[in-house]
Amino acid sequence: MKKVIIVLAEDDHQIASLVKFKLEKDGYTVHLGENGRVALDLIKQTVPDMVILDVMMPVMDGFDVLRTIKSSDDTSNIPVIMLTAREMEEDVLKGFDLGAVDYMTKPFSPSELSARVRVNLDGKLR
Amino acid sequence: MALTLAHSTAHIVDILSFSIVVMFLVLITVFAALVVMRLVLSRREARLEAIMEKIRPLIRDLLTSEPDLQRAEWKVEHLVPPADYHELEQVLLENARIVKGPELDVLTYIFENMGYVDEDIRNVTQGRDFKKAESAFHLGVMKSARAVPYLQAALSEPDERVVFSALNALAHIGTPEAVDGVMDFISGKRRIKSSRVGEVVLEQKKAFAPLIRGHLVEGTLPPERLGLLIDLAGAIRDTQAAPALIAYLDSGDDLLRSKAARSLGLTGDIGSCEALERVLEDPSDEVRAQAAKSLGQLSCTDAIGSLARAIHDPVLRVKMNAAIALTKLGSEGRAALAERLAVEEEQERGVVAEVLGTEDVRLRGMPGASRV
Repeated sequence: MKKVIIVLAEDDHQIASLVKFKLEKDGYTVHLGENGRVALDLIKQTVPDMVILDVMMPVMDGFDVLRTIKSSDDTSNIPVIMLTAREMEEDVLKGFDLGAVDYMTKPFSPSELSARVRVNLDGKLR
Repeated sequence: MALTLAHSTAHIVDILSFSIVVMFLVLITVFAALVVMRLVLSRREARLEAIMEKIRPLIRDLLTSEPDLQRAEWKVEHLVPPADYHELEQVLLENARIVKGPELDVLTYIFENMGYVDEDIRNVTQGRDFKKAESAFHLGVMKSARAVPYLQAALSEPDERVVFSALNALAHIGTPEAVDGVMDFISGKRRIKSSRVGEVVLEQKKAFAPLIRGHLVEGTLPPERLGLLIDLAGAIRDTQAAPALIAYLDSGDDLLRSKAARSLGLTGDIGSCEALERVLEDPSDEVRAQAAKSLGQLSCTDAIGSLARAIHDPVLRVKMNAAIALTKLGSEGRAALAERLAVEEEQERGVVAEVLGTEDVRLRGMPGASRV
């Protein structure tokens, strides 16, 4: 059975390690990009089943990555979950406008993130 | 006589040479000591980092397993040697910073039951200033509700680092008692930079917003404190504070009026446009300048006429803010700004030209733009 691939774009090393660890424990293959540009390259190379995207990232921010994903036929169907800082909660609407399916604010609960990934993948893989 | 003089000179030269050699040796010794210290410190840092790197997978595993508080504590106590408990605390803290929910409950349980909370409370009450500040910060990350009274007491410490750490910790803990502690401090007499308090309040803006609004509506605090609260309402972008802020536009205090005008722009409440438009005629140029800026931030298109008139304001800053605001009000606002290009007064033309040059290159090519 094909393993589900998730691209995680997150520049905070601690958060990235914890999310990757949790999702790998759940059985997914996780590719990590430490900035928007690297993440976008990974998305183009792997065409993942899901993308988890931090909003504030160096080089290229989460909104630019999301916009690029949604503008390409190859990647526009990939569900994207946004990770945003609590004080940037206003950005959530912008994320939804651009096509994100869900969002979580940091600090976050790894088990809740895992549940949201599962729910949104169910919708896509069904 | 000449022989004695020559002898003395030679003696002085000897002493000087000797002193230079001694100073050189001292310098070499100090330099060598510094290099050795740096080496020792970096080796120590590397050793600590290596220990933390060994602990991290264990904590990651705990945080990604079914939460079982007692089992988690048992595992940590038995798998990490007591000699490494300091490094363990650092790893627990770095994880407590990024998680919430049941995973944070696991960490909070470990902090409480392995004595970290007690140790940090002891430091906050008895340690040196640096240690007090550090431990206060830790208690905030640990979200220890038990530490709240100790942190409130630390707010009367003379050292600002301690006070700021305690404020931050209370905001982070976020229980009603902790939030009350911060509000008591904010409405108290002690002076503290509003930007620093703003950082604190942002931590728990949902908890602080109604308390700040309450004080603004009451309006019984001294003007200095009210000014701080007006700033905070804007900093946390509290739309619901807009009616109270609008009321401050009629205050007899110039500073409170200008702060209210600024905060209204930050709250994002478009219902404030009319009130802000009115204070473009305020006797204080600071109020007029802030009002013009906020009208642009709130995209108040109905204020285009008033903003275009404000370009005639005698104060340069008001002119500039009005012109910049117009560039943010769509094609109508930009057209109104372009019309100003035809006016005679040199300073106004200069203002418009500068704004056109720096703020809105799209205006190039519009009628009148060539005259800039």
